[in-house]
Amino acid sequence: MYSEQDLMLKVKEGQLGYLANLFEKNKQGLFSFFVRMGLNRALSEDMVQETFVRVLAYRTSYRAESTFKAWLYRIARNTVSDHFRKMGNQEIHDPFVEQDFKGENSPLEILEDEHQHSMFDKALASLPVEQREIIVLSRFQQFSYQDIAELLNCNLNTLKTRMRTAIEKLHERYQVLCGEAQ
Amino acid sequence: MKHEDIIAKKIELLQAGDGQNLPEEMQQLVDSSPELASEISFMEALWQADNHQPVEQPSQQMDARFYQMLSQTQSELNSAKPPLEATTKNKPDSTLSGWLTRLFNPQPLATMALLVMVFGLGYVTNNTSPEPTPHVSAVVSKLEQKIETLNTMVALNMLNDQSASGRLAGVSYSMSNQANGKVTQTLLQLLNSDSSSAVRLAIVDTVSQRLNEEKLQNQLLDSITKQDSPIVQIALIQLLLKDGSQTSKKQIYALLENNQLIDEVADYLNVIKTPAQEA
Repeated sequence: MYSEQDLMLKVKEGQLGYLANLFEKNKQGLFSFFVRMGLNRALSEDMVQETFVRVLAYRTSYRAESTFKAWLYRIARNTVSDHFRKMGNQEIHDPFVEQDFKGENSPLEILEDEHQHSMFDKALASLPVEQREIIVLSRFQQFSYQDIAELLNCNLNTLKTRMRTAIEKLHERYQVLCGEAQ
Repeated sequence: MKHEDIIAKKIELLQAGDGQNLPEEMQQLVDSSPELASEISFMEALWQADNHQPVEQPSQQMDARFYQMLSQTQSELNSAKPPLEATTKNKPDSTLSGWLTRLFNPQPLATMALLVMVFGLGYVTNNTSPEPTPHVSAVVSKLEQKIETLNTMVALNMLNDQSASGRLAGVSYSMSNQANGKVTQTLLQLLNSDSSSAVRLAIVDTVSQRLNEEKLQNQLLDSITKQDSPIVQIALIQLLLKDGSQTSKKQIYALLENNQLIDEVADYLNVIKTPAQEA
């Protein structure tokens, strides 16, 4: 079985069919990333498409020095940054607004969960893009500190400081929102 | 030890999800700092909050758009670097016979003849009384047969075009001619032999409309192992898994079990298969 790096190297050599495997492995994660970054469903799908168009366009620049995931998300970040720059940060979207809950919890638990989710998401959406991004990458995309540092091109100590600041800020916003709700 | 390090360790443990506690030295520091303790318990809540949330799925249109883009790029790359043989074939023939062949190219001739026939049929049907005489009915029927023959001829001609774009146009033209056995057989032959994966993908899309025919499903199943392109294999598998019979689905998983699929396609099938599908 090929690793993602091997598959990308094959794409780089011109065997474009292997991109289908990379797409299948990463489409869900990328889509969730864009939704968590505040884009609506349609736009998130557009961003996934645009990311893979760029992967094809920049395939010859792939060096396999870092993990494929780090390279892919670097492209995804640039894609979303370009979008935010173009739109002036106006399209913030609450990712859970359109969702129905499906679970075996009691209605009360569901309501409590729903309330907590709503607060977390609102708090997350209110953070500056840079802080929101590292929380999304760590919490929802399950990136390690090493991966995130590679992706953001910073050292581990800088990332640790940034992460702490982001979590403090998120906690602060969450408390304010909960206070307002009560 | 810095608070940042404790947060980093906590995130690592939360990502691992095995319920491990912080090392004792770190836990003591957390216990001694109410501010840090509050942050840590907030993180625990944040990391555990998503358990009941259904994962939002992208639509199938996103997949379709990606595969279309990929197929287009492949076809552009193929046409940008034509094989030597094709380049030679496409060179205009300067001999008299070449000039005559171009002048009497059967494809435009057939198209023109078809147009004349259609106008003729329209003229005859619009100039007959409400109850056509047996003679007129025979003429109309004869003209209809001729049109069908010409349609088939045009379709077959286009499917045999030297350029991939010509054959793609042929596949598209064949959509309305699939009832004709010759056209269907040519499409299936091309599916197994065409050098362009874009053409083969277009054929998969075209024949998908007749998937209720068992014979066709079997021919598509046979075609899977003849493909050298993972994308075409995936397209065939996606089609048969979506709209094929239970027997076809089982046969696809048998191909997987017998290692008859391209490695990447096998990986793909392993990713998408569910126990219910496999059964």
